[in-house]
Amino acid sequence: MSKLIINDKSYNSRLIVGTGKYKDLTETKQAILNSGAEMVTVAIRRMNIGQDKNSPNLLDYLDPKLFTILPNTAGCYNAKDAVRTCQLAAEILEGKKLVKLEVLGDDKTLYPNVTETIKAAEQLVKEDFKIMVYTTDDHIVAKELENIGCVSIMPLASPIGSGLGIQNEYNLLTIKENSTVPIIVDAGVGTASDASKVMELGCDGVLMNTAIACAKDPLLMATAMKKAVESGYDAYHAGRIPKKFHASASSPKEGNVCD
Amino acid sequence: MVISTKMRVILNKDVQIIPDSISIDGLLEHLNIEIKYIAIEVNETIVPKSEYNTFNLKENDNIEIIHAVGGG
Repeated sequence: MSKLIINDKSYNSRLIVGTGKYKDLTETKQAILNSGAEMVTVAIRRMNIGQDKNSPNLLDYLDPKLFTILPNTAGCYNAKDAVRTCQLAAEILEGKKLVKLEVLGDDKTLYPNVTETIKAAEQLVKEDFKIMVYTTDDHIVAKELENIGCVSIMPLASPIGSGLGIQNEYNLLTIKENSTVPIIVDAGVGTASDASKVMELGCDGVLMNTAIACAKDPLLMATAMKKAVESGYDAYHAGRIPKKFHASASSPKEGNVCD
Repeated sequence: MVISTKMRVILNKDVQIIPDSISIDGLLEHLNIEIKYIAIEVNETIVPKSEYNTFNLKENDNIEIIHAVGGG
């Protein structure tokens, strides 16, 4: 598998994983190690002063020297809050400016609010942030975000945490066809075949959280997702056979003992 | 004359009584919070870590201590 290059840094893994919803930080770390991911997302939140001060810090488990930490703007519903969250993230991460921009539209679908996402991206680019942007599977919007200067476009496969898999593969294909930056499908993956399918479409990577963290056995699912991404990538580059309406025998007709 | 040694601030949305004119460094020590992988806003402005020892907090300041948690 060739390396994935994002913001001038190369990665051996094309799987990016989230760190939410795990039982504890030990499970979080082991799942990430099993997945082979080198980039992990985190959320930016107020510290719970009464409870958090003695509990272990996520970044003590996931050393930012070993993993690329991708702070998200989850929970932001407008551009102003998303920009503020990115500024806080850069302060937490000692000036690092790679962020996952997501500006949501509503609680029920967690669909991106595209107008606010574009507004936030324009401002963040001016502040020299490097933006990996969560967006709809709309190639017009994807191209606009690329033109603004986002370093990666991350269209959804289906709603966040839904596990519905790819709902419109043709939209993802069109986004990939029109893009010159990495396309990482973010959200909606339910199981390994979904991740493989994303890669078989020719996308550059997959980002997931719930599919691993909420599996019955998260550590085993993390391993499965690693293999799925690698298999899908290899299958895409190997070139699948065309689909045919009729059968095509694999064994030779010549010398058939039944004749 | 009564010298006030405590002041009221808003800390992460809750009212807290903390030592008067304490620096951010002092506040973090008071709260037993390590200065690592955190960000602090005072009255909606981020204070860089390099200023924690010189930035003195005032009565009614709105302080936010932010960190990274698990997320997708």
